[in-house]
Order: sequence, then structure tokens, then C-alpha cells
Amino acid sequence: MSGKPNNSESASEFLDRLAGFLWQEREGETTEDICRELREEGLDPERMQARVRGLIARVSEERRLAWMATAKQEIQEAQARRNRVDLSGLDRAQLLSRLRSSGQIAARGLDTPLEEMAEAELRELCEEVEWASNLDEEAPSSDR
Amino acid sequence: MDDALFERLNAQDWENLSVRLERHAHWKVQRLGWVTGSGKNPNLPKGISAEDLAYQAIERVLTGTRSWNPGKEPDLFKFLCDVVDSLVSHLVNSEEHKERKNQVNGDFLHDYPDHGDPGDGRGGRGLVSDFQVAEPGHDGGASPAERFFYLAIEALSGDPDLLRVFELCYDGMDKAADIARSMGVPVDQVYRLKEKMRRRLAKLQVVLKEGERV
Repeated sequence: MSGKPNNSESASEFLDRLAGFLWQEREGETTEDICRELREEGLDPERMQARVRGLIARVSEERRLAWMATAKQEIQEAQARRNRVDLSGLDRAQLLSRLRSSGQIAARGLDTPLEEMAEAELRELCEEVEWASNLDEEAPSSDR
Repeated sequence: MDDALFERLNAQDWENLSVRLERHAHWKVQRLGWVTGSGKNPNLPKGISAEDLAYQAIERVLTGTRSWNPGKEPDLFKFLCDVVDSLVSHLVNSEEHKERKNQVNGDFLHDYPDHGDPGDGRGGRGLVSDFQVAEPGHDGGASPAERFFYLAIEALSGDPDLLRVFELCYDGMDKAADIARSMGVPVDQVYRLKEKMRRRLAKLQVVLKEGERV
């Protein structure tokens, strides 16, 4: 703001005012006016504008990728919660029957035949097969 | 940063904001050159330029390192200027210190003789045309800011209009419209004088950098 300085004004205050006046914004000036002024001062406003365009594109892309990663993780966690199967009530015979009917055992190439596995191993394998089957069925066809 | 704020930032006219901010950073750097005597590029650390300062400020705001709160500061440009100012202040801390030291040990304007007429409405301040710079002496003579002040008066003294604008600014005016009113000229003429003054003062940076004694 314009005003009378007092006699104890410091040089710093005066230089601030002078610089502020010399580079103050002009009412109604356009972007091109500012660019012309900067060019006259030996600066390259187009390079500045291009850098900022690149920055906005980069930050937007980083945010999009971060959002996608978060969304993907949230989907997987939700599916895992939904697909968790409680097999604690099944006995050995029921676990064997469930595994044989799943149709996935042959593809896994197990070293130990199912019949020779302990009940805990059968239960773990059964949970894994059930979870994988459900995931295949419910996974979205593409990323959001 | 939440999506709504980012969208708001993304929707700004960055073609305009970026160059306005570069101009703000530029004058900060130029002004620094006046008081440090280090020329057109006052040796900011790591070769950082006005463009870099403006870019870094925008980057900090867009990535949320400096979070803009529109409720607190609705003017994004003003907020960005504050970020630039804080970057400059941080970068040139030692130079700022030198400047403060100059003031504490006797600001040259405080020593400036008040020959003016107390009844002239200017508070008895001296005229800039009477200003004399300290000769080099055992204390090293004039500070860079004092030398700048003297050189500026010298550079403008050949043009009475320019000197008048400088003097009005010295007397406290910093708005083109006020200066135009005081001089009785159209404001566009003050804008032209301002540009002319800027060009003349820019030439001083080289002299200051070369360390010429006045």
C-alpha cells in the first residue's frame, strides 16, 4: 500500500517497496503480457509453462497409480475375507472328498498322495484350494 | 491431499499462474542481488534460478508437501508466493544475515541526512538527489545496498520522470495509480516508466557484481 514511510524506515523496507513496484501486477494484463515481460528480462516463460504442464501430468499419473494400487489391494482383502472358508468342522473323510471333487489336485502335482497326508495338512490344502477357486470365480475381469 | 482439493488445484489456469509466480520469484532474486551485490544471479545455492524456485513452490503445493488450505488463504497465487518467499529465505539465510547485520550496525538510510523541509508533507526527509554514498574506508565503505541506492539514483538522474518515480517510491508510494496521480500523468505512462526503470536498474546488477567502488 502506498503511504508515507517514517524516518526510521530501513533500507530493506524501501528496497522491498521498490522491487514490489517494479514487478507489480498490472491490471488487466494477460498471460502473454507477462511472458513478454519475462522474455525481456532474459527468462524463458514457455519453458516454465512446459515444466509445470509436465509436473501436473506426472503428479496426476502418480495419484492415479496410487489409487489403483490401493483399490486393487482393497478388493483382494475384501475377497479374501469373503472367501475364507471355515473347514474346522470337517473330518478327514470329508476333507478328502472335498479335495477330490475340486478338480484342482491333479494340476498341483503333489509329492505326497492325499491319502498319506495328515489331517492338518489336508485341512490346509483344502482351505487353499477353496480360496483359489473362489478367487478365480469372483475376480473382476479387468482393473478399474 | 484429498481428491477434491487436487481437482481444484488441477483446474487452475497454470499457464498463467506459473509465469506470474516466475515473475514473483524473479523479483525476489533481483532484490537479493541489490543487497548482496552478487549480480544478476545472486549465487543461490546449487545454481537455483527464479524458474526453479517457482517450480519447486508449485511442486510442493501439488504434491501436498505444502498444503494449501483455501479456507485460510483463498488466493492460491498469494499462497504460492508465500512458498517462494519461504524457499528464498531458507536458501539465502546467510545472505539475509548479512543484510540484517548491515541494518543493525547502522542502516544507511538511517544515516541519510534529513535536509528536507518539515512542512513539505514528506516528513522532512532528504531528497534522493542529495544522497551521497560512503567512501571506501577502513570499514569497507558502502554496503552493496547503499551502493545500489547510489548507482540507481545516478542511473536515473538523466531522466527527470524516472527520478521522480523513484523519489515517489522512496517517499512511500508503490502503486502505479498513486504515482500517476501525483505526477499528473496517465497510469499507462507510469507503467512505461516502470519498464524503463527496470531496464536501467537491471544494468546495475552487472556493476554490483563486478564490485566497482562508487
